[in-house]
Amino acid sequence: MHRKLVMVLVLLLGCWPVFYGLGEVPVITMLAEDHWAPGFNEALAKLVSEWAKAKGVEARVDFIASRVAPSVMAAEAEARKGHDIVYLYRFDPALYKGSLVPLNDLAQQLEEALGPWREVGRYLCEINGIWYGIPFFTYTWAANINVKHWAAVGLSVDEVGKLTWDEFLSYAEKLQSMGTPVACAISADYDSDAFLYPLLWSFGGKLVDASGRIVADSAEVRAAFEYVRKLAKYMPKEIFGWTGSDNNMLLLSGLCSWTINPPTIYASAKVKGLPIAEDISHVLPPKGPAGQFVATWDIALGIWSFSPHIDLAKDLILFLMKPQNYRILVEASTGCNQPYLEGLAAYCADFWAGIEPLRRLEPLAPTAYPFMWPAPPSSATAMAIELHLLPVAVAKYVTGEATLDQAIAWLVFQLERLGFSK
Amino acid sequence: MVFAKERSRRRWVRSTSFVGYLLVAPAIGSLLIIIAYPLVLSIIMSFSDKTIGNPGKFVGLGNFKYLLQLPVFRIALTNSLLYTAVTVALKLVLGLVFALLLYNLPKTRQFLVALALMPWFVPTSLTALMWWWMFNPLFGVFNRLLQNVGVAGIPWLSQPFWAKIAVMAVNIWRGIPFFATCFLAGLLAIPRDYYEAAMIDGAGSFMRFWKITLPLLKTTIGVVVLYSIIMTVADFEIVWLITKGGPQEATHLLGTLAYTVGLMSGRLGEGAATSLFLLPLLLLCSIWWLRSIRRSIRYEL
Repeated sequence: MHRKLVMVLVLLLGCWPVFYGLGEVPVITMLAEDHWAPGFNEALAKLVSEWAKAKGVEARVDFIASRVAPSVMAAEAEARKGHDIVYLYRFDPALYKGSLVPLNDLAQQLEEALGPWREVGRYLCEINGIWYGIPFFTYTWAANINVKHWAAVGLSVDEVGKLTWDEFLSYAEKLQSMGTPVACAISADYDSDAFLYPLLWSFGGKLVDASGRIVADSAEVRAAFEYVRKLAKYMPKEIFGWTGSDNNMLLLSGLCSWTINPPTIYASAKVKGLPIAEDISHVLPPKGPAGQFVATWDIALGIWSFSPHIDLAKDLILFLMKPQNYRILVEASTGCNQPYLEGLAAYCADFWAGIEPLRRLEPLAPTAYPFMWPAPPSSATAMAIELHLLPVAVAKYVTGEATLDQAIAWLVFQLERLGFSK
Repeated sequence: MVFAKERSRRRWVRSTSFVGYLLVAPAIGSLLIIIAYPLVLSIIMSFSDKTIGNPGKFVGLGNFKYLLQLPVFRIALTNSLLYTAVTVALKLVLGLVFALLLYNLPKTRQFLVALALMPWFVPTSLTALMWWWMFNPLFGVFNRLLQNVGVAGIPWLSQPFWAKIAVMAVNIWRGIPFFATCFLAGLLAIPRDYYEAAMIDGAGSFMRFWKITLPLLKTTIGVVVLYSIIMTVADFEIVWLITKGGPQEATHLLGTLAYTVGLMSGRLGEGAATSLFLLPLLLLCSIWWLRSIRRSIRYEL
């Protein structure tokens, strides 16, 4: 009797690998950024659950802080194990292309239904004709202004948005004398890049062109550096050591009249019920000789090539990009998330139009680009951003540590070392 | 012949050395998996042009040569050496002073030790953020205090010199409790008879410290300093959270640069080479240091 029982048990154990997983419901997982807007995570998780219920599968969203995302992403790509769908930041589609599923079918389908794609999304996600990510949302790195301080110097919000950099300089002087300076980081922080790249572009300068050739040693780049030196006289000297939250604190304290940041300062003040929220509005940074530019913070959705549920993952992405679902996410982000598809922008347009401090940011400026644009998306481009080469070079010149020639030569040398051609 | 071999095998299996190996096998296995495997993997990676998701190919010393040409790497290397030398030296001196103070306060010692260990208990990320706030030039407590006494605020995080001072200060603050408690344990292990005999011979407090305390603490100091050097060279969190390597790359350490190059820019081979650049030097120093400690123990005996 005992022998029979043992034999049955052994047989069952032996067959376990055959039956393992049979009849199990697939679990689709998504790795997402922990959104600062309190309702966003919940809204995204709810949409994902709704989709899972409709499909008869299970789904989960894991939210992580953006600062730990690079290590988690690298670990998953190396282990070839992890989530099915992942958030891709800026140049990640190019960095991780070896581990991502080409998504041309999805990109095309979405463009046909809701297109066209905005240029910035195409630039980041379409690498040599292959889409490695579906552009999900972007934040505009806008000029965050204190309306009252600008009113004190006689300008309305719309007028601030129409200033040229030269006009801006004279107002910066006035605002500094009032004790409410304009202030932007020139340090090892993305806020610095967000301030300096649009300024550089608006002067007609670029660091690297679309073919990967260094073009930083130009009259336009020199003019931009000269301008920042003039402007820095009217900004707090602490900007050279600022981290991402210093300008937020200064604007929230009511002591700052203008800074560059995604509209998160306003949104968090609004969420916390701070009275300063009523004084904050957003415009594009000033215009230069080459136009008016703005930087973007970009997030796309990618699918790992080792995901066992590629088709389901694609379906989930399409579900999230449906206009009615996308609008839920836009509203949950308090309007800070902006789409890359014109159709989605049109569908949500009335929402932005109803929020006075955000209405000037949507539709997204056609001259909105990520840092280092138009350099080809690559690890060298990513590294130039992560080392904050432009802010460091500008800081060297503005603080007097280097002459203009030395600062430019330093910048060119650094770019060359990273692999860009001269 | 076969019988003799079998007997010898059985004898070895029954021997204590076999049992010893068997007992330490799980520990050695865990160490191999947890420590040796990632280390070997990093070393292999440092000799390749591996990027995320791509296997890469062997490039020999190419990554190391490339790094030496990269100005930011040279800054990070110099900073790492300076940061380690200054902070370990100050932690050693201040830790010893603190331990002597605690040793001479037997009644309040337990309470003070518990209090002093606080910086060690609190997660580094939390303490780094706390210090970042205190150093904040506009809203920080340090500059507010200076301004209250009529002194101009210090550009703690915006000038390279002060930024270096700031991150070193945080490392020292965090490290002193570890040094002090280890030294206190060493001090408590020294028999009081030695001091009593020295006092009878007329030795003053400095002489007692110089001739008794310091020589008998040598082993503890050696081990603690070695451990601290290794930990400090690999420091990351303090600098990353307070300055992110700025201003103007002035506070980048090998750890922060390796993270920037390897994980944030996807160049895993170069990132691994950055973090392992000092490995041969550290290895040689550790061997020399441990041998010196062992020699000093033999000498004392």
